[in-house]
Amino acid sequence: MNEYVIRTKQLTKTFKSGFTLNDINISIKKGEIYGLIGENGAGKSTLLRLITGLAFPTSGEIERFGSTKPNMIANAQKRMGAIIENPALFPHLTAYENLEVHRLQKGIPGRDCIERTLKLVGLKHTGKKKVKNFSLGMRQRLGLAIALLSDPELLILDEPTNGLDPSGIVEMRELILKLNREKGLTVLISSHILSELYQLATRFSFIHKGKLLEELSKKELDERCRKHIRIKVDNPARGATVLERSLATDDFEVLSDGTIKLYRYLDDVRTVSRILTENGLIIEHLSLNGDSLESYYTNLIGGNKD
Amino acid sequence: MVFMVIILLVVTLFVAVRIYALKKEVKKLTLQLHQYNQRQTNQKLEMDLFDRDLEELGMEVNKLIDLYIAEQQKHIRFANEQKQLIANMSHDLRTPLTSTIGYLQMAQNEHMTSKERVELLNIAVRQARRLETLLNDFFELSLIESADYHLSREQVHLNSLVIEVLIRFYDRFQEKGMEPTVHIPEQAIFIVANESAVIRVVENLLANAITHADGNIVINLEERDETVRLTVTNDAFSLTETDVQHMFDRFYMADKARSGKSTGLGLSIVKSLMKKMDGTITGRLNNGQLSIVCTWKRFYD
Repeated sequence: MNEYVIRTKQLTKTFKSGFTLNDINISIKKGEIYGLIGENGAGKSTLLRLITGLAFPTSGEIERFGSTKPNMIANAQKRMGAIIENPALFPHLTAYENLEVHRLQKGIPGRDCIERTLKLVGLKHTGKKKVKNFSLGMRQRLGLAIALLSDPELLILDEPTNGLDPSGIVEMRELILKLNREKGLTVLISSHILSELYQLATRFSFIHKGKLLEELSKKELDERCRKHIRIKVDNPARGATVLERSLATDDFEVLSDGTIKLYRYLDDVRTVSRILTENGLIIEHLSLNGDSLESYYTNLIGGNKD
Repeated sequence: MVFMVIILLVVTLFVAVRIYALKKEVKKLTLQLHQYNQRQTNQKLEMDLFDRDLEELGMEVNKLIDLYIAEQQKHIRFANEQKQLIANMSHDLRTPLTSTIGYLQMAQNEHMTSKERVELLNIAVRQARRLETLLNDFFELSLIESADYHLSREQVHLNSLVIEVLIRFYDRFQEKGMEPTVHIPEQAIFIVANESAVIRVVENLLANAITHADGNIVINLEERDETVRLTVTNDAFSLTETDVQHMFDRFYMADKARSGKSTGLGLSIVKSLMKKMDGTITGRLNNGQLSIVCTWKRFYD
């Protein structure tokens, strides 16, 4: 089976209002939790609508489940579950009846799936309560239930934590992680708060004013967000010893290419450099890297202000 | 007569339409299953829900697909864990290994007094020993976690076992100037467990407490209905919730300084042993106090 669930090539969407989603290239691998981060109005929802096939691109290409053919959109939509903006619910029906409508419409055999999904999202005990009397958080959960009813391969969530209380946010996060772990569900999720997605996503992309600024894995993000001094010397073994003896620290790591990442003496790069040199080492590279999560994000966006 | 023929015709027509619809539906299902079997999709069966029996067939096929996905996911998870493990392993071995090589290289230097050289060699030996411990722990953990590692169950007298281990740790408590508070009830407590595994658990918990405790250590043994709980509590002011969440993970070390002899595997071993004995283990942080609670099933005659 195809390794990529979604791939976009130079995806562009122009609106009459002048807003453009410009030249977006992203790829979402099977089994990933893909976080889409951007301020309000950055173009996240537009991108999600294009991916789900609710809107059509001005130019560029979207590959869904390995196929770019337009006549396969309907087929691909069956394999996705999405909540974008407000999920369409029938206010006069109960949660169970709402799901039954969707079950019949999607042609899912057996009513078991309804009970199971309601239990999964924590709406099992709503009984005869009509949806019009639901709180915002409960509506969000029901929306998620509808998206999950057919056991999709890709789940698309647009700002799913809107209207959820803190414990609801934690529950939602745990549910997504569970589905991802147990069923290999691929998830595409958007938010304007990086720290919210940080604990969930395995891959991140940052969108600002319709442009994709950066796409990187959790590991790369961690790399950029833990402050360290990157040292490359002619003899890494000697280097490690000097750090331990002369700087009295063992809070460092030696990478496979011999680069040393030092997590101490961050304010005192000069001392580090002096001591390495004094011990006869030739410094090939020495730099202070990394940032805090929030300042990384602000810098990324700030550096791209027009 | 004509009436009969008309009725017969209507019935035949009805049956024909139904057969046609059913055949169409079966074809649709076959196509979906074919695509599934070709691994082009993981999508479950969808159908027009007009026939109960066919719907039930679809439901059962979907259950089969569920089973398959769960199994497949288990494999993927296992492969990922292995990959992660090897990455962690080489990562955690490399740093101490590199500095050991560094000390040995320095000791090779000819312009050096023999006293300096001995000092360097001593450091190198210490580092190499740490690597050895790391490898041993790692091997032990892999062994415990393998599926065909079984622990025999027997009746274990927990009071005397805990006291024996505590006595063996006497020197180490002394060294650190610690005086553990011990609450062990008078009456004998028996659990269903494996004796040597329980000893290892208690040893590792005490060693962990001694290495990381900022202040004193409290050891508490109590019976609760069907279970027996052993709690080791120590001050740990620098510990965070995240640390506690991850403390049973392999190679997780709260103090990134990695000072001392710990390998980051001790608590993972404890957790795996508890799991193999069908016991439970949890960690809790409460006002700067870390409590690790082990529970076993009580033994009844």
